[in-house]
Amino acid sequence: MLGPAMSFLSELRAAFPRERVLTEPAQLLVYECDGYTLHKERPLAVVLAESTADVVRTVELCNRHGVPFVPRGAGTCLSGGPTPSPGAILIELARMNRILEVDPENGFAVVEPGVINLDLTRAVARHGLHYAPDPSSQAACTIGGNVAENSGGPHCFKYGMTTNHILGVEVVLPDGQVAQLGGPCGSDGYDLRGVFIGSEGTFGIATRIWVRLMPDPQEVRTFLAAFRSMEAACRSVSRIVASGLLPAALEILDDLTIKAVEASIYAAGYPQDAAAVLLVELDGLSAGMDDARDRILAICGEEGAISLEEARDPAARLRLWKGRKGAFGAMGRLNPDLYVLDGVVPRGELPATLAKVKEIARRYELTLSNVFHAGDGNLHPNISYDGRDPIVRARVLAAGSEILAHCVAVGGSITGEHGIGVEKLDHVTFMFTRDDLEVMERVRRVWNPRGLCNPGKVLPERSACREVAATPAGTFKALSGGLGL
Amino acid sequence: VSTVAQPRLVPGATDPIQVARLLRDAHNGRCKVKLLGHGTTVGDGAGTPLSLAGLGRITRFQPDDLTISVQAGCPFPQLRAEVERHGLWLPFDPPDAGQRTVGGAFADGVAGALAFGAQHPRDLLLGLSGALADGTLFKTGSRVVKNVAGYDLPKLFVGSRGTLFAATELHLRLYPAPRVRVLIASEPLAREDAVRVLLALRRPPLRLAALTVLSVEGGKARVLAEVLGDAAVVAWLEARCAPLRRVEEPAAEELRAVRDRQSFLRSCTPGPACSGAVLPTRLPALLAAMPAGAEFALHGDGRFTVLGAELLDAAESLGGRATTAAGRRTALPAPVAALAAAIKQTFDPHGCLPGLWTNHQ
Repeated sequence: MLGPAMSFLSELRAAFPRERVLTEPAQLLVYECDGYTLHKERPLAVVLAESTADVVRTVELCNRHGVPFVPRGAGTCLSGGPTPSPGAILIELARMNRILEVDPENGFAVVEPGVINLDLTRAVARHGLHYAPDPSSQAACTIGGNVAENSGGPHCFKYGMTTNHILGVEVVLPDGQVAQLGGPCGSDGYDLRGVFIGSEGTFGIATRIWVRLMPDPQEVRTFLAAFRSMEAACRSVSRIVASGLLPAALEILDDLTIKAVEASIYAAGYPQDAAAVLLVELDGLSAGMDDARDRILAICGEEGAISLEEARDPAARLRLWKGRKGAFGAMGRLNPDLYVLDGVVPRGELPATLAKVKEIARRYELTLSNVFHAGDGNLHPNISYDGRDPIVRARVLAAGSEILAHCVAVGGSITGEHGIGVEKLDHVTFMFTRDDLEVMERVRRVWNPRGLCNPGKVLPERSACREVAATPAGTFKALSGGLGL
Repeated sequence: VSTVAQPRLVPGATDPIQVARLLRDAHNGRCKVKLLGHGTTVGDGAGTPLSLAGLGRITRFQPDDLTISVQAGCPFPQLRAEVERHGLWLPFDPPDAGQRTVGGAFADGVAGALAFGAQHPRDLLLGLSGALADGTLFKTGSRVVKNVAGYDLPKLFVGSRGTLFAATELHLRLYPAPRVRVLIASEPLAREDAVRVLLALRRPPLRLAALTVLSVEGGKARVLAEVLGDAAVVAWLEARCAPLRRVEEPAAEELRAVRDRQSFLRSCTPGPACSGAVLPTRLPALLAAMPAGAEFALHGDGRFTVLGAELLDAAESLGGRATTAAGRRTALPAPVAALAAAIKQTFDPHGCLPGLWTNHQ
């Protein structure tokens, strides 16, 4: 280890109790990546922060020594957002897990960033309230991580993303200053809170968060429709939306996913002879609920549903959701590794895109299953693979790249809820021109002028962005080798 | 801009490239420019008007995907009519909607009564194309309903009042139109009673799209609510919102117009006036701080507009915020002010566009 790093680490150790600064290789191993396991980097150290003051102290120290730092919640991100940047330390926020205030009358709570998403909903349930954004990882992911990634979930078709539910954030800026952006009464001036949310930890570290709490619906109805074709499931979704209904969730699972789920501990009783199942949830006032249910069931029936099930009680509802929420876990049965892709297309493009995804998987000889937020056109093609084989890894990445290129080609996006992280740095140019990226880069420099806060995420490095596009493959390696770099 | 040169601009761009060229000319010549739609909101500061009203087309409409793309100068009523023709709805009711362009309404970012239970404009803008002051054309966000690729710069546009860059095309999220929409209102009540009713109507399971207490003559106030949904839902809600009763058309539309005008700070001038927000449960305390004859609109989410008083201190002492029409308020905390100034500087380094605007509702 070089002298400056040694000096930094000794100051870091002096600033915190011994057990809150991890530097041993065995301790650091688990921090090498998040849920995106195709890219790993060992951090220089991990600081287990317990307060805003801890974060400030660490960030100031990093600034003094020019050491990059990366915030991390539960590490459930799927794009490498909290994966250590080279030479960086991690600031782990999972211990900042207190719910500081619940104001049921005004419909908000104040939480620390390490509060687990589902724990917040459980804590406010006695007030008849809940926190609406519900990523599939909600039993483990943290609110701070959700803010960093602007996380979604099955219910954001009706209720919106994390950004729609965050009223304010206390942020430790990349230079160590503390700023409050927004709050329970809104904010004056530019919407800095809005720009901070989804900045993937590159604009600072959220240390206190004001979240909107939603009243629980008077009634919830959940249905499962099974179809012999994916096209019929997608058509049903389009017709449900076109009919003027606004379900809380519209989720589709394909045949391979159904089989994986049914063979796992997440078995939910999905029909295994179906090509696709559609999970529909209605919520709201009881008035009008029967009419909405009848309309949905009629549409699914007309589209040839081979079975229709309505959850009759909360236990049945939980069972139907168990399969959907556990789908990614169930994929673990298929292969040692799982690459969860995330792309968005206009909803009308779903059937053609799914056919294209299938064709790509076949061409690259990969096992690919689909679980997706059909109402939003948000696809999650899941590639199950063995990452120990470098050739397979290369095929996985190439297939993923083709799928995302197709999403953009039909008017969509390379990510609906997982973020760019390190995973999609090479794909950003599918969507954005050099000028588009330069404008974003300018904004990043405003927040993070020294580039120490989570470097190498969201945007390709400026030089790389400009040169790689014009450089034939392999040229950079040859050049850098020749120059002794 | 140390020396304000006479701008050599031809107001009235008709395509984005022209907008970019005009802005670049102003930037290079250190000229001041003021971006306008229909000129409903006269921006702050000096500058040659650059009208975007010539960019008036709906460029893409995919009703099945609940999205629409529209040029910034498209008249708001035209957008609304096109959307409604397909059974859809843009849940955004900016003040003076009839006279506005879409770009102007989003740049102003002033939410109407529907922001209580429907949507805030910031949640409806999915993406945009625009031109920086130096003429750089760029796009940000996307045109699909869900996207987290790159930084969320559309958020910076909403409420920026033309101080950062010109948006030339906006991508918007739509919703299915409610089958029934009715306005219900109370008779004039003592204003404290009206606020008590408002607080009661905020409670679940009631879900109202808009909820407002509006001052009326004689020192009294009325409670107004928008009820949306299927017929069964509307009937259920109406039955539980006593003492509010349905207001039939055309009286309902007239009452909405009064509400919207009274909610809009800049329609309240001249005279002392302010708008802002407090926690809803502190609305009674805010009301107590108002002079007896003040004209006001109080919304169920704590937003308020008051004519006849500048309640800046009262709002801040209640933990809220307030601004006057001129945007005057207590200075933003230093790190926030520095961030805002740096963002302005990075988008518009020569200060060609109007200066910082600090009234974000």
